[in-house]
Amino acid sequence: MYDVVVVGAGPAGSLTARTLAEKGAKVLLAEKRPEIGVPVRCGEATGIAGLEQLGVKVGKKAVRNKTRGAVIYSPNKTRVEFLSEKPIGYVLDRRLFDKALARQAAEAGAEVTVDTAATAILRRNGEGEVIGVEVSRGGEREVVECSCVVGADGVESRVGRWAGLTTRSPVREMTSCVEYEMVGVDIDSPDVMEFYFGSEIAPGGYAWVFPKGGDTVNVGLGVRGGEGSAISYLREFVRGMEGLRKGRVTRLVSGGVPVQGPIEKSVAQGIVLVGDAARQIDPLTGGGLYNAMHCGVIAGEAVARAVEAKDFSEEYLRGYEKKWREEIGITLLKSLQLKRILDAMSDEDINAAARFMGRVDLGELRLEKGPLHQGMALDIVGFLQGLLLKN
Amino acid sequence: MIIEDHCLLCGACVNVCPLGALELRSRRLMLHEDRCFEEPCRRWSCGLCSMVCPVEAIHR
Repeated sequence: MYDVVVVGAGPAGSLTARTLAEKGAKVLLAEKRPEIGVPVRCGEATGIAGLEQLGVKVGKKAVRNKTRGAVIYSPNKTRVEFLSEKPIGYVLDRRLFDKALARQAAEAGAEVTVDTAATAILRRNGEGEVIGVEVSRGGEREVVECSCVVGADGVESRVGRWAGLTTRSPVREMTSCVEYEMVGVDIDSPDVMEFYFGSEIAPGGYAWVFPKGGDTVNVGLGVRGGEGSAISYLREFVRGMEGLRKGRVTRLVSGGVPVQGPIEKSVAQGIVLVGDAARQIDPLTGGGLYNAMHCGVIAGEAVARAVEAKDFSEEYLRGYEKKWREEIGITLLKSLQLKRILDAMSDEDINAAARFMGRVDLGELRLEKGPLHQGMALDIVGFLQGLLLKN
Repeated sequence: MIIEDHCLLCGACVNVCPLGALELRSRRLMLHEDRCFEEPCRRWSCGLCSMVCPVEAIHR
């Protein structure tokens, strides 16, 4: 008998489980795959400040590289720099990072199990309070008793669907992503992330090159709409980049990022959704790691209070929903605004904006304070809004 | 797995597949299994196709 079963041992699930265990709740963290952190579904870049803010310690081995910020290239290759003197970001090894987070949850007292897929949520008389989760553990059906289920099971959240909280993403709001890990490439700046925009490079999205140390990079892109599949754009992108062309692909990752903003409701009786399952994804950058961990902590604290109060009603759990919207809601809204603006911009508009921005000192202090992508997004939105108001 | 009886031929999955593994041809939805790189271990497939299907005609 557990207080809480957390479904999915990604960053959101592990942080939720860790926080719950620290507060004395009896938690099971269940991962459906046989290995935590595999397969990687991510560009693997994140900001250092955000991790520190959340008290997430990252072992040396999980950090493949440190970055000083980003350079954005407009369609005609106008550069806009967001660089700091000091390292402000990591390129992670997500396999090791995710395992380390699960380990921290275990060390706090959570039980962790792999190869355990949730197959149904059990409610009293079929519709009352949550009394357990039916799982398939190593192929064997089992019932795990609990009073609350946290769905940290990603964009395709089954927990969310069972609870009637997850709605299907319309195709135009789904960014289709692929990424290569490549070795044997030439890298100009080993501590700078590169982003490339343009309707011919990645319509409705962007391409990224993240240096992973040595001659290794993650190079990927996300597209919405467009003429062909994401992989056809990626092949074309790599062919067009001198330093990448001669590299060899050592990993292929594919997946989708819904970019319509967070789900409308993230709690139901005995159910809480967190991370990608709640679409706590930045709609502009497609980044979700920081938000997932941040909201994991918030969910852990809120559900721990529910455990103490023995109250798992939707009303009580709404405390979680209120808190996470307070903490990241504005950022998500700003990003959504900028995404809309960016969607409406032609290649020439983006070139013009990049030309202006190249002349503006955006202040690197901002970068050192907050998670990189958030600082960046707010800067850009502020700038564009100013620009639009003036014109 | 495609359930042909359910498929509306709307093309949502075709548009969204990152690997170009789905195709509409002569009023049929076709899965090019060799392009879905995760085919040898299906449980790892990214599942975007089934995520956007409006009628749950694609199952992983």
